[in-house]
Amino acid sequence: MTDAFAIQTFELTKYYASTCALEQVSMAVPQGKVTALLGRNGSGKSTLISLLLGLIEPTRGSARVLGEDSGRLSPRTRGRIGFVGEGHPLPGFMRVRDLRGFQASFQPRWDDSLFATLIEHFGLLERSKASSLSRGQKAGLAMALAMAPRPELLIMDDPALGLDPVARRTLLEAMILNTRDAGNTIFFSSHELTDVERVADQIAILDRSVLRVCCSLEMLRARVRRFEVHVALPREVDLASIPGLLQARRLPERIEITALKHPGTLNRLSTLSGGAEVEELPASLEDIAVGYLTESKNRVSLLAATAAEVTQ
Amino acid sequence: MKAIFLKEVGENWVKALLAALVLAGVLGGMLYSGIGFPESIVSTTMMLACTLGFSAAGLGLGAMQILQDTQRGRWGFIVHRPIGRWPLFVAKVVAGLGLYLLTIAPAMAALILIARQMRIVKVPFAWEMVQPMIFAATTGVLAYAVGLMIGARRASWLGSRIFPVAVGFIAALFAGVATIHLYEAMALLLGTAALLIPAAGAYFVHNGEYEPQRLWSKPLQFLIVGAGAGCALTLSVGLVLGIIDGAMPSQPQFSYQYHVLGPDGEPVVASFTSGQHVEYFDISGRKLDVDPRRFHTLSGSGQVLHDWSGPDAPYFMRRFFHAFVVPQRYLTLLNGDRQGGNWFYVAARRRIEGIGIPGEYLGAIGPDGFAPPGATPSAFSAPLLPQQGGRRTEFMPLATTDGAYIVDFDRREIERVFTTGPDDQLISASPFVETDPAEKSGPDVETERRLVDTVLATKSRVIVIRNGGAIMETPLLHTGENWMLIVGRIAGGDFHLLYTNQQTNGQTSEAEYARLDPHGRVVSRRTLPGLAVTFPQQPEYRNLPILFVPPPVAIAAMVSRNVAGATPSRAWWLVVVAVIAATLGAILLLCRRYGFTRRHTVIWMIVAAAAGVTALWTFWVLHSRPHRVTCPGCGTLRPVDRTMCPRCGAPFAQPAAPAMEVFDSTSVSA
Repeated sequence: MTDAFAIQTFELTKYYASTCALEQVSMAVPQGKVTALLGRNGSGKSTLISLLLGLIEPTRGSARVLGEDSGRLSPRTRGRIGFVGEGHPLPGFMRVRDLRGFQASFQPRWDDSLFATLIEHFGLLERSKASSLSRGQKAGLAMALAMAPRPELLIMDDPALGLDPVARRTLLEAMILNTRDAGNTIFFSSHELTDVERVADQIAILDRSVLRVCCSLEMLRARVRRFEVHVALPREVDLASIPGLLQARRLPERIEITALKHPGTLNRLSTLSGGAEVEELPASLEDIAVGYLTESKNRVSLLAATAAEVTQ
Repeated sequence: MKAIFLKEVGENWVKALLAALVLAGVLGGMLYSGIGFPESIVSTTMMLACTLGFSAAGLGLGAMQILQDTQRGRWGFIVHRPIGRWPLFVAKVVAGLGLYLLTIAPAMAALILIARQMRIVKVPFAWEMVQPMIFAATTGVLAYAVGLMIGARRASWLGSRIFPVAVGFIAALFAGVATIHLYEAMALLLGTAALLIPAAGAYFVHNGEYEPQRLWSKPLQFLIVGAGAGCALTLSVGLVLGIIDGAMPSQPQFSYQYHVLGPDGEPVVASFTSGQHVEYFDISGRKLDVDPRRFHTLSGSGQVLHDWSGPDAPYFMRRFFHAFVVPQRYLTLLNGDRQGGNWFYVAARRRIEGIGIPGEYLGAIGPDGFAPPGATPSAFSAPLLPQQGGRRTEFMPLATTDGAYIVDFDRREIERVFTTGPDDQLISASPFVETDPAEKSGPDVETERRLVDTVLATKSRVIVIRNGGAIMETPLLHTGENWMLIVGRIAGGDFHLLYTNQQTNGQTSEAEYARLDPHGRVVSRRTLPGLAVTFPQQPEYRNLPILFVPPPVAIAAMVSRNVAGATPSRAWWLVVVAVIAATLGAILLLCRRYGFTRRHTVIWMIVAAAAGVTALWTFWVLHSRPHRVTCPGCGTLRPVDRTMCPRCGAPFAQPAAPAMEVFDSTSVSA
């Protein structure tokens, strides 16, 4: 089983003083797939990535990365893992060529032609200082530095943070062309759901330090559906009681619900709507993610309800 | 490693260069403008300034090197690479030490350059004088190690993070005051740095955390942080005592007695009590009601002390004369002349050199006489004995172990007045001015020359020299460590020799008095009754520090009654025992609270029994104290870092699942 997974965690838990940043996360990331880690700010994504790389110590539990305990990764294994940190923290005083030399000196599998291709792709000049680069260029440089050693596993902490659409697209292309085609694994966190939808095979969702989802994108789409009931329900109807409810929005003439597809869901919905027709539709990743990441007390959208009332 | 080295140099060389310019500017400016006395690189002020300046540079550099790479984000970029973290740390340290040298080298070069310009500093220069500067530079290396530790150890900036400074301070202080040779001090400083660097490295490797570290690093870190806690405790207790002292209505008094000569030249007893006038008593204890101005204290007369500077003296006493941080080891300002020149004994060249007011070299005086600039001066066969007491005049007695000289700085003449062999080496030479209550001589040089004699002491004799010849010689009766001889003479009359013994608290000590005629024949000789020295009885609250010292030390001090305050009462015993018990109890409680193993608990209990309250504080600041949550099994609070409850063995409950989980069977770990 170990060989099939690039990453496995076992009840991985991290506390910062009395704050629980990650609670008993058990997950597995298959080899050769692109896995996106979603979650709100502060949900534990960066903590999970830091734990996987052995950058911080877990409070409890363990993780295995490429078959080794993440807290004791051997230098050789670390050489098989590429990492792009959040905000692309590169030493600002170094020029692009200095960083290439710096990184290449550690990496036995450094591919200089790949690095040259990537920096050309991102429009970087060798003489540019890291501190003078734009966010997009810095992201490209960080990506090139992480990919040129041809890692088997590329871990990225929100690589598209703060990038414009063009830079994001360039980044995605680099990710797809240079890593996925080689059959390697990518594990990245992101808030850009359209990007995730474009490249990810697997989805993991962290909701306030607890892992709620870890499956393929197809499975998630199959399990989480959007339901529309074309009837106006009075406010007294308790939509929150629908099993597997992720989000509900009351609109003037219909109700939109994102929920886990579950026999009880349809029955309950049908009962609440007085036997009205319930239409089942595929849910977008954005709907799904927003549903998961919304606090339970806000699952029935108040804003939508208010708008409906105003319309009426 | 080379890449990390180059990265460190590239990232920090500009900061190092700026620090170098500041250091060179400030220290060079201080020397140039003549701060300190004598105005040289071996003045105490310059030594202190160099030590502080270099230490600040080292400390800042060490802390900065670690902090710039351990900040969020950057840490991953630095350490996530196919190389161990220890080689990364070593490369950082090697680069850091190189940068530190770059920082201090310009300042050292500037100081030496200025020191060699006698027109600026107006004192002679010898290469041996750079020793204190090398010590300061080595102190900076230790401070660099302290900086690494401060940077690497995650703790509160307003709390224990700065504790390692105490280790650096203690080691530097000890190296400065308790060693004689530079190599000893350097060994001490570098040895301490060699303890700090691996301790800091262990923190670096574990990203500032204490718990995941291997066992070898923990005792080192305990010692380092514990020393800081101990210093902080000492300061706090001192502060509390100071506040209590300040609030007390009156301070206890201190009194002691000493011998002086009465109006008739016979020894009498003077009694001094702090805050009161001196009172006089005859030897039988009868109070004397005489004008105090008619007593002669013999101060300013010849003194013979035990030779604490010789090779047979204890190490700690010898360091007062020969330690590399003692300015007189290199340079002694002997006297000035009437032309405005200053004459220095330059120990490295064993000769006396003169510097004029504009800073020109006046020439040198050796045992064979004066050598003007350009001539080759002679050197004394042995180092000059330390100058002891007395008045310094233009006609100055100087001595080496084999001979004594009188130097006339005005005429630039030197006269050998005494010679002795290796069996009876000189131990002391001091000027001896007769006191004459009838007439106060003015600053007339010729008058003074007539009056000034020299008292020499060999291992067996006391000799008074005048105009190049001995006018009195008598056996030296006491040469023990605690004895001191004062030689006095009133108005050309008899010589008075007073041997006094060191006085200790609450005890009396005998003195021996001999009166000799001008030819050295004994007129009278007797043992004087002992004199009392009374230190004030300290209040019992001054025993407060006992509560915070290691328990074995506290108990030993209480049993031996060697305490700071009054002899401890039964209540103090109870308080001390209670504090020790409370410390052990607190450690036990904390160990149980955080689920320590039995072995770990026993180790900490032993440490607490040995180190007391300091151990408790060190435990508190060193150990991470994991958050505690309610155990689903037994309902008690349990630390979150334990997989099983230490009390009932239950695992943690799974997080609440609100029926919205979607897990692929292949995407969930067992």
